[in-house]
This record gives sequence, structure tokens and C-alpha cells, in this order.
Amino acid sequence: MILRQQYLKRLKSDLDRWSQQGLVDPAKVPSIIKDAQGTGGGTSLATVLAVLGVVLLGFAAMSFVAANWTEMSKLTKLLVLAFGMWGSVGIAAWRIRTDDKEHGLYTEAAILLAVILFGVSIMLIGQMYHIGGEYSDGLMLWMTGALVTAWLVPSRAALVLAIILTPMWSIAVIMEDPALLHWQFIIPISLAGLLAAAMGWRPAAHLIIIAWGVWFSTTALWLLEYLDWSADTVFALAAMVALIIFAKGHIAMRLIAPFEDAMIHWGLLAAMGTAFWLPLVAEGQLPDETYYIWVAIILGAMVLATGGMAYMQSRFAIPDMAVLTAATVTFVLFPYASLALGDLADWLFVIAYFGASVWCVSYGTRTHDRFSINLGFAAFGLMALYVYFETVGTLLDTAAFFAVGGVLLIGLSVGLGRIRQRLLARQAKAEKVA
Amino acid sequence: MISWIENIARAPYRLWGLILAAAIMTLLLGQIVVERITLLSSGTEVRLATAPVDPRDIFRGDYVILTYDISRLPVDRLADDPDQFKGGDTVYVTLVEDDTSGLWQAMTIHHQRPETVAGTATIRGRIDWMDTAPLTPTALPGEAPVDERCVGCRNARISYGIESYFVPEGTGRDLEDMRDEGSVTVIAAVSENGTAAIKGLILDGGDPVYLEPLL
Repeated sequence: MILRQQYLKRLKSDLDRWSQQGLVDPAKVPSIIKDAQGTGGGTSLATVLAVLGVVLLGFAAMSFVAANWTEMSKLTKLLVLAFGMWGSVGIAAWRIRTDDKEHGLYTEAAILLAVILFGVSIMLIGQMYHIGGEYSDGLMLWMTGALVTAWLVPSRAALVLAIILTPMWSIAVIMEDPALLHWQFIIPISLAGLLAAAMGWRPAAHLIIIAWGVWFSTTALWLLEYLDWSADTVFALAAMVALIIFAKGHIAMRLIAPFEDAMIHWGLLAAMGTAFWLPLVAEGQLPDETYYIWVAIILGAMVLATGGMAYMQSRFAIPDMAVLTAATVTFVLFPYASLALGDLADWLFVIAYFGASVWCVSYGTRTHDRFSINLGFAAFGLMALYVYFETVGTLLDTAAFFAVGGVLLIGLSVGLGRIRQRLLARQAKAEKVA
Repeated sequence: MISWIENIARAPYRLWGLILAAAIMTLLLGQIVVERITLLSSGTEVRLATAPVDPRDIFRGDYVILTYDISRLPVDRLADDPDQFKGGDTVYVTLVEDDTSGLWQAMTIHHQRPETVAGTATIRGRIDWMDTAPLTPTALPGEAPVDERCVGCRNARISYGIESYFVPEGTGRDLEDMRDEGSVTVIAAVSENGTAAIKGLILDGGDPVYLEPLL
């Protein structure tokens, strides 16, 4: 709601400015504001209530199954759930026939309830026939049902459920057999991503990227626990994967266009987040150097290739490419540097991290992206706190570090200010000539 | 390609798509039920010694975990290639009935499904993990003499998909009490391909205390 009010406030001030500049007809400003005020708010409350209602009904059905009430025969219980599922389908069908042609709120709620009851029925059958342990098979079946429904109808609610179930399936598989790399996750999540992209539905992009994040985390655990890789190698690889997602968000491609913002924000957040932890988790050992370096080189090449494509499309500026390249080289080499240089590598990394935070703010300023600006400041502050606590007890060292850093940043700021003034003057001159 | 997918994704609701999706989901559910009924009604019936413990499943309610005598098997004794067994492997265990107790016990363990021999049943399972019997056996009173124990042998901890027995809410403890009072035996059906399903529970070799109807 707060975001919406901010948006309306911003829209009003922008419209005032545009009408003064003659870009917008002043007579139309009130109707534009009225239209903006009239959309969104009411529907979102109704959506939340409808979804909560369906979730409660789903929990009711789950509790009905969990009670394992023996007064009712297996067949009766199955029929109750089957009628519930087909009843929900019937309501959705009736809504489609009457007035909802696409993305109808109650139609979506009814479809969501049908797919939830499908999952509850799977649990009921598992309970009735004492099929124990293999949660993953049940979740896979449920996810398949949700995905099939999402494609066939097409339904956004079923798609959301499918996206949520996909990483849950992956987690269940890995819990049942920690020795497995669950690559099969890629198939349903790609199908879900394809559908969300084709729908042009932005909120699903965030969910899909979170699902990928969960899968990458479980895969990182697999590398750490099962293959016994050191934490810094795993974090370095994770940071590069995040950079790929960030860079990919800059490539102009029709299919991923709705995902751009989500990819850029989540990619940048994950890259800065994992990079922050990199020196903290360094163990000073390389359990499997051969595999690490090959995987790191492949991922590094993917970061640079993706960044290069974005640069060719003028989506990246030279400073962005320079930072991307420096970050990639740092991530690839960090485990080796940590092994060879010890604490010195950590301190060099901290300096590089401060540099990356400053770039993050500059990137946000250039692209008018408030998220990146805030992220840059937060990363800078967190790292400053880390340095403070790390050097606490040797306050002279802390003071020296911050003093040098402060002088450097002020110098950088003055330099950038001059460059900016020079560029503006050149631009003004060029405009005058034109 | 992209426009084709967009045509599917951005189209208005498809009534036939909704009905087809619901039909597919119903068929998937029906297929599991039919498969289970077929297994329970036509599979080879085996009786397995077990000891239940009572936990709770958040989605499916109370159940008891069943650990069988065949859940931990010494591969050195039962397999031709004991070194090849590791966690995550799918295995086939050949069971044979003990004439005196009527319980079925493990005879051999294989990676591939063996030929069926009359009077035996083959159950499929997955190795959860491997463990090794202690090299220096403890000499506690009442234990088997050291020379009869397989010191340093590799044991496979195997799951067969029949380790959970769901019971009505709050009755899991009753089953544990029964276990404390006497031995609990599971009646399981084993299909031709090695899949197993629980048919019922017997206490002290008597009549079944729980017997599952097919529907």
C-alpha cells in the first residue's frame, strides 16, 4: 500500500512537470490520476482474501486426511476429496462460461482449490495404503498436476503452486538421498519459467528466481556435505551464478523481458550477499582443485559472455563491464589467493568489496534504480561493520583503515564530480552547436 | 516458437483445458489406487518380524515406523559381490519362509532382480547407508560368542517402502504397547517386480490386530 501511495505521489509530480514542459495535455492530468487511483487497491485485498480462503480450505482437507478417521471407509474418503476437486473444477467452469474470460479472481481461486485437493488426495492415498517415506514421488506428482493445469487452462494460480512445489520436490529428493545432484529440477522449473514468460507475468518471475535460489542452496549443500568441497569454493561459484543471473537480466530478449527487473535485483542481491560471506567462510583448503577450477572457469566465461552481450546491446556501460570482469576474476581466484596469502587475501577482498558497493550505488544512480542504490549502501555499511568488529581491539588499525578508505572515497567523489561537470559542459556545448 | 507459446499462455481460459487437466489428475490418482489394490490382492504374501516406534507426519497424521529384521542385512554373507554395495543403490532381497516361525527371512541380496524360485519371494529396496560391524566386539553377558559374529562385516541399512504404518489419531501408542507385550509381525504383499505393500499387522502370531480393506 505504501509503495502504491509513493507511486501515485511520484506520478502526480511527474505529470505536473510534464504538463509544464508541454509533454502532456494538462486537461488530461486529472483523468490519468483518477485512473491510476482506481486500479489495483481493491482487487489486491479481494485477491488476498480469496487466496487465504482457499489456503484455509486446503488446510481443512489436510487435517481431514491427517485425522485418519476410521468411521469412514477408504472409498468414501476418496470420493469426498474427488467430489471436492471436481466441484472446484465445476465452479471454475461455471465462472468461465458466465463472465470470466481470463485471470478471473474467483476462477483462479477455484482452480487453485482443485489442484490443492489433488495434492491432498495423493497424501490420502499414501496414508490409506501405508506408502511411507517417499515424499518426493508424491510431491513430483502434485507438481506435475499443477503444471499441467497451468499450461492447459492457462492458470496463474496453478502456476504459482507448481513453482512453489518444484523446490519442495527437490528438497524432498535430497533429504531422501543426499548423494544425489537433483538436476531433474531444471525440467519443471524451465517449463514454469517458459509459461510465466509467455504470459508476460512479472510476479511469477520473482517466485521462479526464489525457487532457483532454493535449488542452488540445496546444490551448494550437496557440494559441501557430499562432495566435501570447501565453503569458499562453493560460495565463489554461487556468487558467479548470481552474476550470470544479474548480467542475463540486461540482455534484450523478448522471452525474458518480464523477468528483467527480478533477475537484476535478485542477481545483484545474491552476488553481493554471497560475496560478503566469502572471506568469512574461507577455510584455507582446496579439497578438489581440478573440478573447482573447471567449474569456476566455465561459470566465469558465462558471466563474461553474458556481460559482453549486454555491453554489445548497450545495456552495460564500460564501468559495469570492468566491475563484472574484476569480480569474476576475484571469485575464480579467491580460494587460491586465500590459500596462498592468508589474511592478506581477506583484506584485499574487503577493499574490492567496498569498491563493488560504490559501483552498486553508481549503477543504481545511472539506471535510476533505487534498489541498487540502497543495496550498495547496505553492503558498504555491513562490510564497514565487519571490518570494525574484525579489527576491534586494535583500534589504531581500524582507524587507519577507515581513514585511508575515507580519503580515497572523498578523492573519488571529487574526481567523479569533475568528470560529471566536464561531461555536462560538453553535452551543453554540443546541444548549443546543434 | 515464442509466439506459439504466447498464443497458448495469453489465450482466454480454455474450458476443455480445465476439464482435461482435472481428468488427467483423476486418472493419476486412480492409477495409484488400482496399482495398490492389484498388488495387495495378487502379490505373494510374506510375514516379517518388526518393531514399531510412534512418530507423527505433519500431512498424513499419526503413524508408526516399522523396522524389520530384513532392514539391516550383512552383505558379506548374503551377496556374491559385497564390495559393490553402497548407499543409494537399488537392491533385490530374496526372502524364504522359515518353517518353524512362519516368518520370511533374507536369503540373498542382489543388484539385479534374480530369477524367481518356487517358495521364495523377491522384495525391492534401496540402501539408505552402509555400516560396518565393530572390529573389536564388546563382550557383554548374553551376547553371541565372538567366533559366531561377523566382526568387521559390512551391513546394508535398507528401506522397502513399507516402513510407515498410518493409524487413527492418538492410537500410535497402543501399537507400541502391543509391541512391548509381545512380538509384532507385518503381513506384506510382494509383487512380481519386487514392490511391497502392507496388508495387516499380527500380534504374537495370532489373528491380525489390523487388517486393511482394499477400499
